[in-house]
Amino acid sequence: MEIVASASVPTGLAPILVNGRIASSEIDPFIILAVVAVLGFAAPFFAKALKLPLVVGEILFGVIIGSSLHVLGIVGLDIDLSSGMMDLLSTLGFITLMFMIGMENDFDQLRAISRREKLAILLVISANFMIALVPFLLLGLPLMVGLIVGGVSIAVVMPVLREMGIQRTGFGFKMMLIAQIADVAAIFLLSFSAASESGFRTVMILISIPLLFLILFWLADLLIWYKPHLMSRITNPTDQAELGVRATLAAVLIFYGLALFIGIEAVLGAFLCGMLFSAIFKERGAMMEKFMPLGYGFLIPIFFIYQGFSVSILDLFDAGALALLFLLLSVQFISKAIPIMVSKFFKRPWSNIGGSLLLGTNLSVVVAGVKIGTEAGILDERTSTVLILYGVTSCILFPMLFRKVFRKHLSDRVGAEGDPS
Amino acid sequence: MMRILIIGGGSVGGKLATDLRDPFVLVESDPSRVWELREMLGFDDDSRNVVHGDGTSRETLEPLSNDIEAAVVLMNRDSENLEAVSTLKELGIKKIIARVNRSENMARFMEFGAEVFLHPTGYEEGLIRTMLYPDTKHAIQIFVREGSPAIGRSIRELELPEGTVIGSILREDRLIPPEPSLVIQNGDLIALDTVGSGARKAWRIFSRTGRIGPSGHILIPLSRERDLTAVKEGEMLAKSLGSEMIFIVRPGSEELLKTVGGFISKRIPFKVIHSNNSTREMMEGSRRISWERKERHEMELMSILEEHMREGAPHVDLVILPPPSKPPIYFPFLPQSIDRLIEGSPIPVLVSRNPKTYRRILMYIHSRSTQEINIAIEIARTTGARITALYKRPNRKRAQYLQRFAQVYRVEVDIVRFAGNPTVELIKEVKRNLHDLILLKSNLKELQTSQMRRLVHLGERSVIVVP
Repeated sequence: MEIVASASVPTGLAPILVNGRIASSEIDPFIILAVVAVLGFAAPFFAKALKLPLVVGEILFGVIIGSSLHVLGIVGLDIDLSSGMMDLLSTLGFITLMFMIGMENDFDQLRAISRREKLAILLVISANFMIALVPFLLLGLPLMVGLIVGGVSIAVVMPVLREMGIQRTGFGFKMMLIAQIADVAAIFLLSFSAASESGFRTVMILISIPLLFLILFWLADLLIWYKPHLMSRITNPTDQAELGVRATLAAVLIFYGLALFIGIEAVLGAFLCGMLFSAIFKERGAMMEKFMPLGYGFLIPIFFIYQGFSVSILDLFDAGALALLFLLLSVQFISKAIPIMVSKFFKRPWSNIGGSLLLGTNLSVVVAGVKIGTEAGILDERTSTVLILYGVTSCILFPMLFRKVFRKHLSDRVGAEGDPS
Repeated sequence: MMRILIIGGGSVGGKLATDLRDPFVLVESDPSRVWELREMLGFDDDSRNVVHGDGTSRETLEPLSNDIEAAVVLMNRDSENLEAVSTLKELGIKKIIARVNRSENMARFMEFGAEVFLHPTGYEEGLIRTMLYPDTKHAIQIFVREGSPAIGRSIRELELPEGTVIGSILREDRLIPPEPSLVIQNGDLIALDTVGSGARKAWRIFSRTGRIGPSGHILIPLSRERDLTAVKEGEMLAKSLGSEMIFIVRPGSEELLKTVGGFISKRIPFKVIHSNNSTREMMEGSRRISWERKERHEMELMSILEEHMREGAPHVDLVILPPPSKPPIYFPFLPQSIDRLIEGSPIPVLVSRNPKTYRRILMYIHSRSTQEINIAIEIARTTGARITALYKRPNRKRAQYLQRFAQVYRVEVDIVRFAGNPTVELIKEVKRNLHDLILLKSNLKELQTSQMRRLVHLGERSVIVVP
């Protein structure tokens, strides 16, 4: 269908309507950025009104826009909002997100538990990935889908536990540890599954990463010891030149480049950089304070909203897509529930069910996996769309079910014993 | 009639208030406990006898202190109790009775003129009554705890004060008649009648040895020539603090002991413990046998420390270790035996590098620093050193606490606030080389373990690591 410019089309867009298509290269990227910025501002209110985690709100906004564009495309008004600048900002948002996830790792938490508990956590997480892989491999889907489903989103688990006031109980502590380790493991596994390198090279990279990490940690440790004045300027939040923010940005991008150079997934570099920062600076509140506004206030919302643009809810109006969504959600729950319940990870049966439900939330891994998978050409557009929708659904559905189970079966125990585990 | 102020409405404060014959005012910081106490003691909801407030704050205590003749301080922490005692003293209250949780803090309370008792004694409210009304007849109960000097002695040997009669002894579930030949055991509950000051004497006989006075013990293991620096620093500290020195000597190090004995001042009391074969056998029987030989000495020391702590006597205040030799390349991520010893020691460890009198002490203040403050004040006031204390904004109250005690003891203190990373700021201050002694807490969440180990292994100054 041929569409011509008409009076109903905004004047700013009129000159670029050619043969019924609004070409992305011709929309001023700042208009797109302005749209994303307004959505980013509205997202917290939207998420709060619907009692959703913020990131879910941001993605949902993006999905609404993406679906609307899809509808417009069906009627012939094909608007493409992708642009080079937005791609760059979105990638920067993704890098920042991975850096923040890495930085939120708390190595001290691992020291606080016994060897037996460490082993139990390791077994639960390994079993989770193995169970998650089986159905997708049987169906002939990429390995990456199974790895994505094996992930857990600490970014959702932590706020839910905090909101219910149970993050400091034994139950909350173990839940956070599992979520944290599964999150990290999933990102590592996804990066390696996307690598096109030979098996030997992958093994070499696997060995060299911890070694490189240790060397860098040692060098940073030396820097604190021998150059404390420089490090003091970097870590001082009142420094006029904002040396800390500059150094952090430089470090993140160097790691990103280093990862590209080594041949591993580039975002893994940003993630490792975050982990290194969390290992070097036990107390990093001041650094986070400086970096968080830039990350969570600007770049990360751009990433989530922009990611949502590529998703259309209309793609779900298809039996195959709906079946895949259902399968993803079921496997997500089962892969957590079986190891937790079989090993009786928590003492009480309802704690095991509640824990499995909350560990079903999965978003950051999904978004990272989709980005890595599409770039590597492993995931097609349809699977990516269903995966993103699965991530959003899991973050709405599982915390809601957990709250219901918790209120009904666990809250009394928390009141009486301070610990539902 | 005497008006009494009770600070702290826990179980002891509540029981004391129930039985008191004189009018009282009770201050409690937990609002729900205030409500509970009012109901338990039969007061109205707006009663002024049970008041909600901070027992350490002058704003709370000043309006309540009119006509108060005696105050009983029963909060959970020594630091809070000491703060309350100093405020009460300033408000002119003559008779102050305070609970002390750690025996090493007793002297500090007594310097404020407070009468103290060591918690837990078993029947505290009875003991407090004997302290409040010293001239009347009392029936008290004492629970004999591990470390009591009465354990293993017969009633005849106890030399109870005149007028004191043991009524009965409850041992497990049995009441035992108090025959003169009966030997006191750990866990006995003893009911006795006594008059006046006899109550306090009786309590002293049965309760754990509460060390009074600033003396303590400085434990120094001897095995190498290099340990002489530690001995000299130990001597300096023992002289300042009035402590006794204890040398642990390995077989084969007896010659070194002779050298040490030669230059230690005769006025400083010291004793010697020989690390014996049984300790070695115990160590060899453990899983640690695969460790290198040079590490055994530290493990032996740890074992001796643990034995001391278990037996409760003698009370060790400080272990002094010689500095470890500096390696050409240092990796702080692989803990050495000295790191394990310092990080696992139940008592403060000093890594010695400076045998001269301290002039400046550096410390880091965190949310729970009490023991470090006590140690810093004690060392600073006896050596005349000046304290530099680093703190971050959330720990302002602790810094004020230090400042207040520094004023009381006339210790000069510089309180330095910083905004950045605690580890980096601490190392920056250490590198200025202005301080002779650095005082830190081990396994502190905000301080990087690797940098703390560097201070121990590569630092230029003495370091005290407090558990």
